[in-house]
Amino acid sequence: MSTNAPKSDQRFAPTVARAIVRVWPAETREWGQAFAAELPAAETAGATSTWLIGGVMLLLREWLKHAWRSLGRPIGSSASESTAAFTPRCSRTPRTPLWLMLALTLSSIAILLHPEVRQALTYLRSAYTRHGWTPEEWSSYKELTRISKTNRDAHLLALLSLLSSNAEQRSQLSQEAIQRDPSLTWIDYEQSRTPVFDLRKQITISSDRIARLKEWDPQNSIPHILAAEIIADSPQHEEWEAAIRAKRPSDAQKHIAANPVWIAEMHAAFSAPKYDSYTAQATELVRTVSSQFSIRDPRIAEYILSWKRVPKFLLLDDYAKFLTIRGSDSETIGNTQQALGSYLEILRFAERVKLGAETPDEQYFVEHIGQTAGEKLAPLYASLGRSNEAWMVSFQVAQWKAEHDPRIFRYMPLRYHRAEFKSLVWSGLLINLAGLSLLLVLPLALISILFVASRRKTPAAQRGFIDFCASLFADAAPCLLLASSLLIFFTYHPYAQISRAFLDGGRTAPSLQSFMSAMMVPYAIPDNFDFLHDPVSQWSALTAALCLLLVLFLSRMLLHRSKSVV
Amino acid sequence: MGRRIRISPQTLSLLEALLHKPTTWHHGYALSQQTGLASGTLYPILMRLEKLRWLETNWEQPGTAAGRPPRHLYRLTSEARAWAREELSDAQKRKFWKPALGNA
Repeated sequence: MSTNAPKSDQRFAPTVARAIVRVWPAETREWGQAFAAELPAAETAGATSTWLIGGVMLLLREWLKHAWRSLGRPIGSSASESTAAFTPRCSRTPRTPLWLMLALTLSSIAILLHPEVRQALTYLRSAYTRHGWTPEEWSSYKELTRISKTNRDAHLLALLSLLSSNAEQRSQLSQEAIQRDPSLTWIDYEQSRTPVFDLRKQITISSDRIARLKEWDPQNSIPHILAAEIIADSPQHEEWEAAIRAKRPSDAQKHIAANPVWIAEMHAAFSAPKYDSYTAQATELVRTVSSQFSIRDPRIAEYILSWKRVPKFLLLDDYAKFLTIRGSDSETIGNTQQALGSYLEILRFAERVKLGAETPDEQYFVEHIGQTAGEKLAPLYASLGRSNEAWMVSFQVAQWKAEHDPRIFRYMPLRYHRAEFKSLVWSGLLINLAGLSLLLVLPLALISILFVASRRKTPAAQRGFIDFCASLFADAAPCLLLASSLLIFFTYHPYAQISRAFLDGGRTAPSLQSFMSAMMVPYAIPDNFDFLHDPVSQWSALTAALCLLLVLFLSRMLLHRSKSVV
Repeated sequence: MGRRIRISPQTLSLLEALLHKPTTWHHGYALSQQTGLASGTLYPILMRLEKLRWLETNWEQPGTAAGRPPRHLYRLTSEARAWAREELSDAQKRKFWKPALGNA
């Protein structure tokens, strides 16, 4: 027995023992005290050290057991506390064991990190914040731009020219792309795009580019339509502005229809053997660049195809009216051949567009002019004794009439039947509601769990109404989180699959309409729920909620104060 | 005798030490010295025996020894003593364990 143990040992060992007892789990602390109480019995420094080392091992073992057992308890409750009963002051502790809470939360996080769910949430954010509406805000666009600095691939440059909002940049990129690959000459047509909602903007494309497009694709209506649009553009704008100043209706159409150069171009357009507005080429361009550079953002395809350049239908309608009037006048004077020629020119153009056009608005427009022409042509054929041709034209008109139901036209450039549209908007509503619930549940869950955890040492009798609500929400939050995540995933998954399949291409690729519908879903909600996307409604709801909370707190404060006074 | 536990050689050594003077209260350090078990091994066995109610525990009266805290005391319950003797005898027959202190 050492009676002359160094002083440092005599101080150190009890300090360590006390520290061990202090951190020992509460439920078995008595054993820690028992262990520490034996320390003075150790006769040598070596025996003391061995005893202490054993104590540290014991402590680790007890802590592991404590941590394991705590997974089976709800958050905020200790081993000694009963979690089964409500106390008289409604200070329930959460019921959900920690391991279950963690499992639900981690599952939710895993689902939220799934690419499809992230995609849906990104689109939802755009719907509510107006952020991410232009390509310049997308990480995919920035990445493609970065790649293009070192890789001047023609298709990449062509795609960037379709995405850029800077006119000069668009022009430069498209010119370079065409120089590198003349098969991309069709993007000249896209460069003539003007903002849809700003009619003051005129088409700006050089005559060289129009000539190049005509030379590259001489059999197509589109270059001639483009040339006709350029011819009509300036006079149209001048006439509109004059009409606005004079406060009279505009008769721009009359002025334009008197221009023989315009008539010649429109005639060339209506007589060309094919109609191709390059929608298929634009789609293939997106697919090529997406697969070549492994950047698969469906928004790129959606943006390009939504803003796809199509003819100005008013101008085509003006020419169709011109032909119809000419045909009627010819009929009146007995010149049936000229009348037939005028009506047939419209009808055949309509047929070519129906065959060649991919966007529903092109189809919708030519059904209208085709019907008008057909309703003139069929009786004319009948009067000439050409009953078979009259019958075929009537059949054609009837078919187009059936397809041309204005009630099925929603959200240009798409068209839907009522049931299909309903399905889309209700899916959109589910996704919106799930997204909003995530936005509410996440911060509330964090606050309630932190609150419950921080109040775990508060005696049950001192826990009040807020403890009750916090513990209720701490229980519900992981389930709500999981439910919202699963709802977003399962609702959006079919549409995400459609987007992916569209980008992949191939024979089984969905149609343009299916793709655009799928992309629309996170933004679409039934008309009765439009207020969800309205900033004024959002602010009103937030203000109302905050006012309600304020009233609640003030009333509890006043009640509490009146009780203290009594 | 309630739930059985894994009877390791270390547990048998402890039971033997407790049975040496079955009605006397034993200290933890003394048990450690008798059995050669370190505190990290001894106390888990004691805790398991106590949980199964085979071990009685008690604290020394405060002030029993000046300058140090009361110590924790242990002895087998009366029901556990018979069981412990049985286990020791079985283990000896199976040559699983050899007594260090002689038969209790």
